[in-house]
Amino acid sequence: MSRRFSGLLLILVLALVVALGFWLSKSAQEQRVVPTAQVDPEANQFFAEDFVVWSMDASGQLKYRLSGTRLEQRQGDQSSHVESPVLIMEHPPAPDWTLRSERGWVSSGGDEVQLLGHVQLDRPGAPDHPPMTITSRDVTVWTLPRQAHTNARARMVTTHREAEGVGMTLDLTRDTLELESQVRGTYVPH
Amino acid sequence: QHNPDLPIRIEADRANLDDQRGVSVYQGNVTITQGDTVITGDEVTVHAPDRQLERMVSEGRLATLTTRDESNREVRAEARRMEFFPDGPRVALTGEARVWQGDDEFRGSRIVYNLEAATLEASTGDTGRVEAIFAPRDRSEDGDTP
Repeated sequence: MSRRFSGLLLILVLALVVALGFWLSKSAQEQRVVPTAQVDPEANQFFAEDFVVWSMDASGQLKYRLSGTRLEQRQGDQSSHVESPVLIMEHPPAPDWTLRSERGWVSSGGDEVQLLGHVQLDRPGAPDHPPMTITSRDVTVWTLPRQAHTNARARMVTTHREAEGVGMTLDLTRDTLELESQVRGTYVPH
Repeated sequence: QHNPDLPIRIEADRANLDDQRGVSVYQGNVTITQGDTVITGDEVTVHAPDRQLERMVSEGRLATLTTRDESNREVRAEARRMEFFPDGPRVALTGEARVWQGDDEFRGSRIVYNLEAATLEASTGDTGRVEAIFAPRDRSEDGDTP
């Protein structure tokens, strides 16, 4: 009888030990969990001043280089707001394109860069490429297909001609420029 | 009179400029202007290989040209296709080509008009004929007393 009683007692003690252990670990875990504060989407996650960012594509190749006087990354959508952005897009052997504007916005993945306010796009001259400058406003750049688009008036100047129009799409890989309406151009006879 | 040294201005509804190929296509109500010379068309393709302007090809239901010769007489032309060679300077007209110099008219399947010398060469092509219609001069123009 006494053996049966001591067996029961042992089981009871074991159960108590397990329950106590479970309670202790649960409360420890609860202490480690920081209560998540209410996220303010417009608050900065971090900011950087006089920064330079090299962004790579999936294969590790340089997609673009972005610098500016200030970058603020927002907590809400992880996008970034940039002051005085300078975006450099390489495409060797062609010369780099340098895109500047007053302000900028970069999507969380870095696939879309909005250049806001006055925008200037410059490509220096090279044997197979004449120097080219395009001025416009509010240009959206898609960094992977390497295209830039605006609905505003855009003006292109190069050595032997000028052209302007309202609405522009520039393909930085194929070197094509599409002007969507009200097109005016000037050619200088040689 | 035509001045080949002036800049050439072009206006259109839309354009696609291909820097690598040196070819630009202007579409919709296209107007090319160089001094007194004006060429219109529905679509104009500008060929500028190595950034040297070579020719401008205007195509339209009918492409048109107006200019003035050295005696300030108006010259008009129309054709389905006009190739403007700024260096010529000349214009090659093909397809229902017609040129009016003052009151005189010339027709042919292909006419090449020299904008500086105000001369033209008309050729028939396969089946067509060259036609030249000279308007009779007024006697007073010739200084004869009637």
